[in-house]
Amino acid sequence: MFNKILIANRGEIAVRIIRTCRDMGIKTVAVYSTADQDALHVKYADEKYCIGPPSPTESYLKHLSLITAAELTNADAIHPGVGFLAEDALFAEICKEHKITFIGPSIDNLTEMGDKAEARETMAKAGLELVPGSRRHKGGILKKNPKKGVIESEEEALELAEKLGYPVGIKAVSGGGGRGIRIAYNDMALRNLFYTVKSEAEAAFGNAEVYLEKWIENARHIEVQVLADNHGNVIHLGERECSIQRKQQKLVEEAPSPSLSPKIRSEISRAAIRAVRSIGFSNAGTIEFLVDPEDNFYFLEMNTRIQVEHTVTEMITGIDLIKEQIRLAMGEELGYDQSDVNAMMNGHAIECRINAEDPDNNFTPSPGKIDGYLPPGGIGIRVDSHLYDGYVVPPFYDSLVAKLIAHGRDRTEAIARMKRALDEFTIGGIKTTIPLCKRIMNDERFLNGLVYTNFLEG
Amino acid sequence: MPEDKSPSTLDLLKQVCDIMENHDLAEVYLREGEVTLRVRRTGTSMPGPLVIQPPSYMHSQTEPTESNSAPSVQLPHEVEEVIKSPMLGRFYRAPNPDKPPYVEEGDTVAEETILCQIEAMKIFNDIPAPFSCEILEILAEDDTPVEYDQPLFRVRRT
Repeated sequence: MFNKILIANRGEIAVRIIRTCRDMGIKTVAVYSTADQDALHVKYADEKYCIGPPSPTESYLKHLSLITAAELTNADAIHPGVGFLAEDALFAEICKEHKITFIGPSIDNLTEMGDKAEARETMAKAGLELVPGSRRHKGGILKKNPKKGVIESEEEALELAEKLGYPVGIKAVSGGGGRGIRIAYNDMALRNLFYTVKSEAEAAFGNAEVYLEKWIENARHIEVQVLADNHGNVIHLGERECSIQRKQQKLVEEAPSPSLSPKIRSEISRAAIRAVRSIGFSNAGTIEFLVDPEDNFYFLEMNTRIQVEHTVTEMITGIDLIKEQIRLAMGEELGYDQSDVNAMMNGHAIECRINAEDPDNNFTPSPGKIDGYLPPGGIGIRVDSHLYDGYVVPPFYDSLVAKLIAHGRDRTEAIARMKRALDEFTIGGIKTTIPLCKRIMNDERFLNGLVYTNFLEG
Repeated sequence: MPEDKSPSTLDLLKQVCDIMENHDLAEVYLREGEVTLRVRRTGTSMPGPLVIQPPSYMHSQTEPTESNSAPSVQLPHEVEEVIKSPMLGRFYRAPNPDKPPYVEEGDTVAEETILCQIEAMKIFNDIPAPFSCEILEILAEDDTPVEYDQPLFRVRRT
């Protein structure tokens, strides 16, 4: 049993992890930058250490500081949360060298799935279909990097785009989580965006390699949550529908998907399990698929970490995924088999992500002091947030300030509760995307379950 | 309210004069509670006229009498500063347990003098003085964890 876990993260996810640790009787260590001195995760943890100035590179991303904090406190394990170092294979290796358990998949899993182009290669071998693109194109245009599907020149891109048919997506090999993607609708756009993505990718990820993929309109983003132990047991906990996105960042997620037929649901789940087994995966992960209007599903990427929207899966299964991650990291066997999970599935859950952004002003970030915080309540309502009255939202980090989750026995009930909860939710002093969430909850298309990844453009 | 030339204020003046003489200072600006002192020394042998700026509720004020002497040196306003830790780690006052500490309270050190070491992941980082100063107080305990920005030394610039 772990005696102490260091949470290498901040914000609502750090609070989330600390809560489960406390439930399990595990001591917690919070690390924070000077900008997070008054953060809730710091208040909740048993021990706390300031590790640097506001900049993430000098604080939350600094391997040295995190390992030092773990050593000073004799922490047994580090939970990396989401983002930051959650998928950093090097960090996982350093943890291992220092005899600190990295709560997550193995170093090999992280390495394999971290390079998005390589991941596609691996998953194609595991029998998953890929979105038609530079990796899968039969024409064999690629001479230099046949394995990775990397597009080297504007000419290559144009040639392939003609064969695939517009629109096409230009994607950074090192991207992921919606970053490093641009869509071209014609030759001229492709000519420009090809270089745009490359330079953006170089700046953001230090790697300018890009690949091309057919861009599917009216696509649905469906992801499957998996758990695997070190004893060969793998289960899925159902899928999540995450089609409502803004600039490829998820806004609303739900479980189960309102649009999947039982047949496709079954096929996608089985495909996910097969893929996860083939790479010897362990701990928690999510396989993301794109589903086209003909119900064909294609592998997008695999996230080898816990996800922001893990909450909706927790609501429909009753399983604490962070607890499972911790147990699996301690070497325990999965506590459930697939039939257990299937029997536990209950009802429908929806999550609205609430960001400190002004939806009426081009989503300009809105940091500042919270003046009046009143979260909603009642049956089937869950709020994951690090906000409190008087807290100052710093400008240095991502803008997610709260996750509002509603559960009901069916989708209609969940929506009704979500609407009511959004009305109750008061976050004063800053602008938030609550008004946008309300609009989505009242949108005919959403209510009819007709949600595609171009939802917000319509 | 009557002029307050309490013994403590006079003692303070005497102390300031002594310090100025001993350290060959030309000017001192000191705030102690509600009393502000600016003492300027002319030449190097004797302190010159005193200027006492009492709190606003006092009636009397003494005016300085200018004297013809060497120009005075302006010292920085703040007398005391705090040197903070630039990193998370374990604080060590000496290079190893057998050696004496890098600095003690009362020491005056030049800029770049090593004040302490902070260890992180088995690497010992020398922490130099950012400016020449007198060590007034050592605020962290030897062989204990210190965090980023934690106060380590209370110093006075020299």
